[in-house]
Amino acid sequence: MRGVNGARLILIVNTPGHLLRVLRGGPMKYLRFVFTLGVSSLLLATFAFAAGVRELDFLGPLDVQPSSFIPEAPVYTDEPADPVHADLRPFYKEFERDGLVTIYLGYGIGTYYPARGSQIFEMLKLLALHYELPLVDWNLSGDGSHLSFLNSKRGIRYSITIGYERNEFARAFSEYEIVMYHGHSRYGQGPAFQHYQNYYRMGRGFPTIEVDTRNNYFKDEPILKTDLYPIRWVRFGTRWLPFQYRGQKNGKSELPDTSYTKNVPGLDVDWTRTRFLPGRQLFYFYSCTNKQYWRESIRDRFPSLSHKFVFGTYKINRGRTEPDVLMIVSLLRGTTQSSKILDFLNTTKDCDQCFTTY
Amino acid sequence: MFHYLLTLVFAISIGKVWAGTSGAISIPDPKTGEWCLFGVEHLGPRKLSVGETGKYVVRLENRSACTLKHLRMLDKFPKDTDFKRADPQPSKIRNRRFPHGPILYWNQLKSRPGDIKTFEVELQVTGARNQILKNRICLSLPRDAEEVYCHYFKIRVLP
Repeated sequence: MRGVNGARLILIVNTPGHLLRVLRGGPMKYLRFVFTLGVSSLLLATFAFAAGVRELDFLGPLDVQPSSFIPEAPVYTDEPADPVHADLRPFYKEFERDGLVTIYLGYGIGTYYPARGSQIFEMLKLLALHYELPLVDWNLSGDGSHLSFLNSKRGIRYSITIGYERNEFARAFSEYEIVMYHGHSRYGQGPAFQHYQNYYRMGRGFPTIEVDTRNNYFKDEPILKTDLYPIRWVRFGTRWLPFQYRGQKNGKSELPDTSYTKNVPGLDVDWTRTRFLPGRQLFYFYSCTNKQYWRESIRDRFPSLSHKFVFGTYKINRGRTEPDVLMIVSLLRGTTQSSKILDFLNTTKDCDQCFTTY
Repeated sequence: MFHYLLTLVFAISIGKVWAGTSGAISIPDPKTGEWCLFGVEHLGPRKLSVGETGKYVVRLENRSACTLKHLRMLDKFPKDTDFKRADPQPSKIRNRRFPHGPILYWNQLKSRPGDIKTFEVELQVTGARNQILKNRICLSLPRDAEEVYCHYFKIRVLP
């Protein structure tokens, strides 16, 4: 309809004499209305543009965080974005084959709060309205950890799980077609959940990492650097646990002075232990400069871009929900070119055009 | 354009309900080492004037499978604030040197999976205008470990 009205308007403007006749005539009241509406829309759009209002600014009031996300200073700065490109059609084809597209969205320390689920739910609903997506049958679980909806035209259901726990995140790679993470990179030590020391190790920069000896995730790990820091023992209740020193030595562990610290293997040990779905997968990592931190590990294990494709960052990230929902909406709209999704992600004001692909 | 305005109004109305008051704190169970997640809601005015008293409800929900005994909750008041009253009464109040606000302690709490505890706290803004105050809500298990795990909520002092 918009195109038809637009064509009529051009016709009217191009023939002023005809326009006068039209405005006087009764049957042409409709055209006068369309003309007025068109002009006022144009004026409003111009004002909005002049005021710096962005197309998706209506998400802003929903995108409120309980506390500020404080990025950690990245090790890598001034790196080029250097994105890679892929045609995502084979990915969609594979995801949609069974009529169910599964997405896992893990929030790390500093970004998780229970209301995230309902926030994402409401933002997606607004975006579905905005882009006129035929999504129906919206469901949100009581605890906000699971949401789903159906594309009524194509008969495809989308299921999104929102998590915050480290082992669940590791399992997600073997259970979900799209795995997303939003949080800290921990200077490349890996995504961290619930506390700064609960790493999912997937980087190459830290041969060892410091953790508290009481940390259950690393209780069976070998202790390293024992020549520098001999093993000592501390009793907690009935348990005797090994530790090397109190507090932290490397300055990047976020362990308090009261911590009983040990050094365990770092690098990408969790990544190499993780099981993945055999087919194609998309990964989205919204954490500081993760291209520089994790690209090598990911591409060593999965050299082909047509097998596992990553939307990541090459600059610091922030804590808003908008980039996460933009990524999901790109998938819902079936955007086939990775570069288009990348441009869309980079429209977010949450970071300074930080997204790239690798 | 009307569609845009409609969604904007809709978004604002929903946004006001949340007002960014929910956070989370994870604390390790000293017996099992499992990380136990607590949802924290901080309900109350986000903006206060100097001299004004704000009434806040802190809602603590055990969202984990952990049963914790001897849990301690701390409410670390922001700087430039005074404590007025709390319900239930804190077990202990530690006053700090000006401009730091006091710390309220509730000791010996027991928390089972799904338990919800609410604390009503009133604070008064005493200090400078036009600043952001950080109210820290923390959890610890002082019998077993010294570490304190916190989440903060912002309160804006109006100019």
